[in-house]
Amino acid sequence: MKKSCSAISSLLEKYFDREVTDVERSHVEAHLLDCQACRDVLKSMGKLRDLVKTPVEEAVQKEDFPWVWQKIERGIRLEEKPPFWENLRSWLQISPLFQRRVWIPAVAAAAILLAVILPLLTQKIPSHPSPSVVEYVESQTHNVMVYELEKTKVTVIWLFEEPEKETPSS
Amino acid sequence: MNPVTPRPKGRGFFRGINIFNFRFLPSLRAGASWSNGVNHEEAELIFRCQKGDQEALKEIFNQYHKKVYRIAYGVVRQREEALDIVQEVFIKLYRSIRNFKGKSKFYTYLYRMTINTAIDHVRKMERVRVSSLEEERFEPSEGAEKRPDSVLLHRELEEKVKAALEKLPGDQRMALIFREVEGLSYQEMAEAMGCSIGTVMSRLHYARKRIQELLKDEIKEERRG
Repeated sequence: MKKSCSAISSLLEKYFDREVTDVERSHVEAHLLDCQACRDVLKSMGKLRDLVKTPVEEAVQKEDFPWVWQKIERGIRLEEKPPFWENLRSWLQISPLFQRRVWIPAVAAAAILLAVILPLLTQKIPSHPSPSVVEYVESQTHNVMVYELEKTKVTVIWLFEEPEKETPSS
Repeated sequence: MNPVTPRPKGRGFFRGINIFNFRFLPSLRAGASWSNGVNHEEAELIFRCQKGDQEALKEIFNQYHKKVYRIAYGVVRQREEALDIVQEVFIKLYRSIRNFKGKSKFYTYLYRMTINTAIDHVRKMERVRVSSLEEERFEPSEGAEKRPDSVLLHRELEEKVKAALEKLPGDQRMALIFREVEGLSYQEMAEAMGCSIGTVMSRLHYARKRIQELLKDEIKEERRG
């Protein structure tokens, strides 16, 4: 016995979605053979599916997904690499160097060291030897060099003998 | 005999915080039994990804990116937004895959994440649109008059479908996208949406009814054509 439209309408959507049992399918198909109105409802659902699905499929075909993966990779890398200040802060929190029992003695030692070194650094280091004047005089007979210290007024005079001239071998 | 009192987890700041989430990792170890029919290869991939293996994430991306994009595009109907959603979903997945305990199918977990991200994007887009509505006036896009009629009609139709979808409540829109775009079964939709099959059928029915009313002219035109 064929079912009426009202009885089928509840099954029509399930039939369209392929969620009916074999028995239900045979009922619906038998009804559709003679019912233009229900066939139209089914067609409308098909058209609606096309309207919703086609643009999505077209968009999928056009898309360049390897590029999207590269963006994802970059995003993950950025997330994994915390900003510099975050790094510094976490390092300061974790590092044993910045624990109170370490840094208080360290600061005290540094202060003592500074107290010892500072006077040494500020002490007057003797300046360079007082300036002197070197004069070099060339004479006919000797080469003369005069070295005179300005402060102590000491004058040193060197006389260089001219090396003997080699006599040309006869 | 003294009753044995459970020892609190962690010390000081870490008390009560399970920082390494070791609890569920053994259940996802490759080769462990999966009650929900997830295959062995997928279990292996998920396990590797949970350990921070980006190559495993890439393989998951290669398997699922089109599905995620279809849902995202189906909801937002904008290329850039849909791509942003895909990107966001896979970064979120990488970050939170440790929370996946294997109780549901992996793709339903991923679809749920996609839906939530897409809904967030829609909300943001709506906020932006509301704030810019007072400033902007609709004008035909540049070079519209130069385009062929078929392209313009196609574009116009797409805009009408988008507007109609936007008028649906979020859960009905999701049901429609899952069924019509992704072709999920009622059972799969129920798992992804976290509701019963009856609720799925009801949402789908009302979504179709409403959208057929909104697009009745387009549907009639197509049938005549």
